[in-house]
Amino acid sequence: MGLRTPLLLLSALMIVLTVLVSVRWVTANKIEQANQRQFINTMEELIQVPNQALRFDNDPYTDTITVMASQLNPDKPVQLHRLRNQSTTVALLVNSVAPDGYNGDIKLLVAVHTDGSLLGVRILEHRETPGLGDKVEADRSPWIRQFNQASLKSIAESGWTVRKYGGEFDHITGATITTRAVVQAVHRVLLWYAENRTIAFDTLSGTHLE
Amino acid sequence: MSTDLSTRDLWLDGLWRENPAMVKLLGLCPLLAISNSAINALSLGLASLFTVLVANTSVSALRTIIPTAVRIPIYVLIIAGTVTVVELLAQAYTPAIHQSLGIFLPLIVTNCLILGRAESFAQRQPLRAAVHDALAMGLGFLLVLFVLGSAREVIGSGTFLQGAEHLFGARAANWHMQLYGNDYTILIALLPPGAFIALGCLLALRAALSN
Repeated sequence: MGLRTPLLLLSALMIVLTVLVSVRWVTANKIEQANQRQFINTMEELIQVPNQALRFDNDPYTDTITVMASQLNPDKPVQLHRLRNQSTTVALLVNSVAPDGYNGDIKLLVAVHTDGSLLGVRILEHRETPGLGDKVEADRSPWIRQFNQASLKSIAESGWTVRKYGGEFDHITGATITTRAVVQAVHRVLLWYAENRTIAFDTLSGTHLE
Repeated sequence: MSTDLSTRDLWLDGLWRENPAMVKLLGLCPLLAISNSAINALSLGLASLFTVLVANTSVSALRTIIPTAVRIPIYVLIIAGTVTVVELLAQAYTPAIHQSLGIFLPLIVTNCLILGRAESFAQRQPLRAAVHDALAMGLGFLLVLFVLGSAREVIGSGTFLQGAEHLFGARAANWHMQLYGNDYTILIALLPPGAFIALGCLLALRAALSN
């Protein structure tokens, strides 16, 4: 056999790698665009306040900072997107995680108006039960819209859970754990925002805060 | 396996007599997990079909130069490379599908249907037969996935082709059908037990038809 087999394996590896690198190179832009489009679509849904869209003139997709905050995500740094108009701050989008869903992490995008009220919440990723827990998705049920305009002022500390546990939020029948996890995660975002508003908006874009 | 298989035999084998999902029971993990809606099932079926086609074609074309001793690593390399390409393409052009298939798209690498066809067929057969075999087996797998997915979606969610626009683009936005009311759900059909029950019924039906 001699050198033939190793050389053959090596060339097979090289060919496959070349193909992968080229496909990666061709699709990289498209993938970035797809991610950006998905973010912008979700953001546009979120910032529709009654009758009008919020005005902003920066690019929230790139105007971001990264913070470590275990309330927002126990495992990983959290990315925050900022919306500004001229020099005034408009809203903050928080990529938060509810770690206590029925089946693992639920990834959320929470939009907080600069005054501390919620513009809205969307589910980005989850593995909840199809037919029950997935009703937290905006496309499947209006449940997620009850966060619109809620704030720490409008709902007291004890109200930030589902009705079954004495809170002010409806739950979805058969998905109490899922809905409670989302409500509590959103609450933690508001609590964090109340204490870190200046950090969230005044830090230079691209900063990583440990 | 005889060496001069007719094209007709290859297709009959793939679609019915030796159907990978109903007779050989290969690739059941993705089959059961992803068949909760028709569009998910169709997407995974297409991705698997493409992968088995590329794998069979390259294995058959290279069959004379691949040393027997290291054939399995080379097959796995080809399959894993193909699946990565499929994943990148899905991420770029059908991001919603990429998201709903989740881990089951990269897991096509471990679908025994694909390695099975390379090992038991393509490595001994000429290119033409290997291509027909891949198309027939891939399509056989896709059809079973689609039938299971459609049945579970209709019974479980009361919809059909929900999310078609994620696979076929904007023109498919109104393809989906709402068969019953908005609140209709039969949960068991959407959960894993429903997948086993539906597959069981399908296997029984196939057995009854071929007797």
